Formats: sequence, C-alpha cells, structure tokens
Amino acid sequence: MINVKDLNFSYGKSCRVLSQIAFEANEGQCIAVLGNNGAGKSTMIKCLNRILQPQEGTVVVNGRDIQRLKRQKIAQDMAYVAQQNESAQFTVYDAVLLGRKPYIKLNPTEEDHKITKDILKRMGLESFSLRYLDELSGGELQKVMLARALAQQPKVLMLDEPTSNLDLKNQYEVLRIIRDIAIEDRICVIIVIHDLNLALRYCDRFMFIKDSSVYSLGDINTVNSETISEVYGMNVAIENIRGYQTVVPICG
Amino acid sequence: MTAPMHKLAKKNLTYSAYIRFKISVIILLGIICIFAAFVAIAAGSAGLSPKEVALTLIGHGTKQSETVIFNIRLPRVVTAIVAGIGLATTGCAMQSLLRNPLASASTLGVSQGAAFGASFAIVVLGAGVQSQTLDGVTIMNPYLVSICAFVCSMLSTLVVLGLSRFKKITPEAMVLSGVALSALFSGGTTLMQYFADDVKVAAVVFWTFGDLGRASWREVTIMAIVTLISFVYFMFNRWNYNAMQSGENTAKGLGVNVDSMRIVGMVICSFTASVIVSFVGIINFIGLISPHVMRRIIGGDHRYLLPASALAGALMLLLSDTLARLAVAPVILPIGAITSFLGAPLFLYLLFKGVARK
Repeated sequence: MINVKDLNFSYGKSCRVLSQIAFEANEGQCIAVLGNNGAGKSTMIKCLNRILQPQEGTVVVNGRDIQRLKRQKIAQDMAYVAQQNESAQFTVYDAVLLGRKPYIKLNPTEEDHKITKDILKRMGLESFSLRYLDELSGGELQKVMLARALAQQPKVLMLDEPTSNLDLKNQYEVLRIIRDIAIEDRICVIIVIHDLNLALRYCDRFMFIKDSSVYSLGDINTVNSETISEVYGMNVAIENIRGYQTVVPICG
Repeated sequence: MTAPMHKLAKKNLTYSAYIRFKISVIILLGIICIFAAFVAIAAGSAGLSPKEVALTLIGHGTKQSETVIFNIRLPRVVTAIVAGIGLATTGCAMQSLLRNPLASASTLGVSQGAAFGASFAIVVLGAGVQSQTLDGVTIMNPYLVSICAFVCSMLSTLVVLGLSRFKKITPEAMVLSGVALSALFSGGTTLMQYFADDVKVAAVVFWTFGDLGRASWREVTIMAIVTLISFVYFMFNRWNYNAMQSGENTAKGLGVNVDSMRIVGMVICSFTASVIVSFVGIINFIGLISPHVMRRIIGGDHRYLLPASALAGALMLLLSDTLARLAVAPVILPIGAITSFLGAPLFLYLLFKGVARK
C-alpha cells in the first residue's frame, strides 16, 4: 500500500530533520507515529504527500511514485489533516464538499454531493451540516476535518495529532472512528500522536522516531519500557489493566 | 457568519435552499445595480427626465440628450461598474491568496505606486498642467500620467515577487514588504511635491483624488477587457481559493499548487488594479470592504463570494459617484473620499453587528 524508502529532509542546508526514513504499511492498518517533540513526526507525514518536498527518497503508494504525480493526483490517494485547523467562514457541508476538490473539474457532480452526504451521515454530522465552522466546538471541528479528508476517498490517511484539542470522551470517540474507518474502508491510517495509552488502545502498528530516524517499528510488543525509556528518556512501567496494555510513568 | 444565514440555519433548511439564498442575493444585487445605474444616468444638471433618458438609451433621443448620455454620463457609469467589479474581485482574491483580511491590491503598494508614478509624470517629466477656474487644474497629457502610474504601481508587486524568488517568503512577509514599498513610494511622492511648484502640486493632489470622469470609451474598453479576463481567471480558480481559506498545508493536501497559484494570482490582481487606478486615480476602500461585506452576508464560499463581491463593488462605486456628483452640484466631490465616507460606517456597522451575534 505505502512504501517509503530513504526519505531525507532538512530545513535549509544544515538543519536535518529526517534521515533515511524507511517503512512499509498495508491497508487496514492504523500506525501510530511516536516520539519526542521536535523528533520530526509532523515533518515526516508532510513529506509523504509532498506538502514538504523531501530532498531525497521515494514514496510509493499503490505502486505509483508520488514524486512523479501531480498534486491533484496525489490528493486523490492521500489525505492530510493538519494539527491546527482554520475555521473559515464555511458551512460544515461546504467544508466536507471541499474534500472532493481533487475530483472536481468546474462544479461538483451529483456523485460528489452524494459522497459528501454519506460521510456527514457516517460521522454523525448531518444535523450540523448548515452550521458555520466558527460555531463548532473543538471536537466537532475535528470531526469535520476528518470528514473532509474522507471525502477525498484516500488510500492513505495522515493525521497530525487528531486528538490534541479534544476532551477525554472525544479523544476516544474520534480515534475509534478512525480505527473503524481503517478497517471498513481498507485504508492505511498514519497518526502522529502523543498519548501512548490512546495509541495502544486503537493502533496496531507503532513507529518510534528518535534523532530523525525510525528507532523501531512493529506491533504492540514494540511498545515496551526499554524503548520508551530510550526514546522519551523517561522510566515507565507497562501494565495490563482490565485487559488494556497501559503505560504508567514512574517518576519522582 | 451572518445574521440572516444564522436564522436560515436555525430553521433546519436544506443545503439547496441555502444555495438558493446565495443565488437570490446575487440576483437581487444585480437588479439593484441596474436600477442604480439608471438613476446615475438620469441624475445630473442637464435637466433630462427619466423618460427622456429611457428613450435615449433605446435610441429615440434628441441630439442633445444623446450627446449628454452617450458621451458623458454613460462612460462614467460604465467606468464605475467596471472599476467597482475590478477592485472588488481583486481584493477578494488577494484576501484569499495572502490569507489576510486586510489584503487588497493596495496592500502590495498599487495605490502608492500609482501616486508616485503620476507625480513623477507631472512634476519631473512635465506632463503639463493648465489652470482653469472651475476645476482648478487640468492635466495636459493624461496618457503619460497613466502610463507612469501603471508602471510604478506594478513595480512594487514585481519587487515583492522578485524577492520571493531568492528566498521563500510567507504571505505575511509579502504583505509587510508591500507595506514597506508603499512607505517608500509615499516618501518619494512627498519629496517630489516638496520641490515642485504650487500648480504642479495641485495637479498631483487632484490626480490622486480619483475621478471616474477621466475615462472615455477607449479607457473604459481597456479596463473592461482586463477586468473580464481577471474575473474569468478568478472564477476558474474558485475551488482553489476555497481550499486556501482552510490553511496552506490543507490546501496543498487537497491538491492545490499553492506557491505558483499565489504568484500568478498576485500578478493578475495587481495588473488589473493598476490598470484601473492609472485611469481613474486612487479609489482605496472598495477592494477591501466589498468582499468583507458579502462574506458576512453569504459566507466565504468563493463560488458565490466572487460574483457577489463584484456586484457589491460596482454598486458601492456607482452610489458613491452619484452622491459625489449630486451632493454639492455642480462641484464633483473626490470619489475616493466619498467611498470612504459611505463604506466606513457601513463596514463598522456590519463588524459590530457581527460580533454581537455571539
């Protein structure tokens, strides 16, 4: 599904942010990208669909090299939800319809409207569809942004800290929706996330980034106290609480 | 969002009803524009009745009424409509391209550049001024003035874009560079005026006031062609502007070539505004507020915002010019002042009414 090789990126000439990033992921997988602030997680997902242009490396999605594709074509395969979202003067419906942008020539077709309506329904946003974005709460806005990304009908969905502005209930609800989408639509979801327990609950692959490179990548067993102590510089215990693997920080 | 839309949303209307609302606003604006244009053609000191004006417009007028209407009033009214559309749509596009609510073509130094160019033509190149009793001064060589104004008003945009080739600059930096260049041009204009004689200074000041009566059919045609081309270009990119509203990274993620679109868009905006400003002088406020007013009424979707802003700009400039001609006739007040007098209170009203909705 997505195959990344030797990705290098630096801001300017000297400030190297990503070094030899390589990984593979398949459909239906939900990958958590973990690591310290400034490790290069957000930069990495922006390099995947060329929001930032990597200096070296290849990204292949569904057998097609992203470097050779036009932006509009990339947007048909890969969708991105930013960490900070601007609430422009759009209605929820128009904001989600905008996700059809990569397919719209001049005007949206009946099909574009149908897809928009289906997604609004699926995300439980139908009753909001004529509300303006600046009247929504953080959780509602996050769902709208997710809905817009889904309207792109991507094969790879990239989310930059989708739960950072949400309350406890919304954090779990949004991530549950994301995991269900990955499985039902058979797409690959890559999530930059800070909350290890949320990641453990809903993701099935875990990628630790340290010093601009992939430190380790694997299933739930990758998340162990040695790796976390190496990556975050912090001692933790990992315990099973009511059937859930849970990270418990140990510090004075 | 807007008070009227708020009520509509509350009533749980469908999306198609919401779109119909926007389209009706645009149609209504168009009808008001046509009505205002007729009033503007009929109003004036020649003593023509509305019936005579209507007859003349459909080709059954007297020789005298035809002269007044086709040679004097109609070019002026068409100029107001074309310039209003041009300034408002370029303002609307610039606000989206630079993601800055204060952006309009003037932000990149178009107005100050034009004023500098006109001063240069009048003071240094001696475009020639002639004293008159009623109008104060008349410029003898308007073409030289227009050409200099146009060149200088494009100059600051080209400098900003030139700088951005060496180093990738943010939209904020572009706006600030525009402000810096505007200051530079204003300084140059002031210096030239300081060393010029009274009559020339008067001519420069008179030029910067702005006057829709300066354009004859030939200038109107040039302005109309440029405005039409830029409007078609903006409408073609309406989905791109919608994507830009949602943030630069999101727009790129939606498949928009943000950088190249910004550069091409800025060149087209400043070209259009420069052409208009060089023919009619400085009319600042229209480009800034028409898009804001319409955004408050029909929202930020550029599919409807662009045509609505265009009509709002045309209407505002038409009303301002009619008022400028009639307020203390036969003296024609400077159009730039009137647009500000009409526009500023309207804008403040909408701004504070908008805030109160929360």
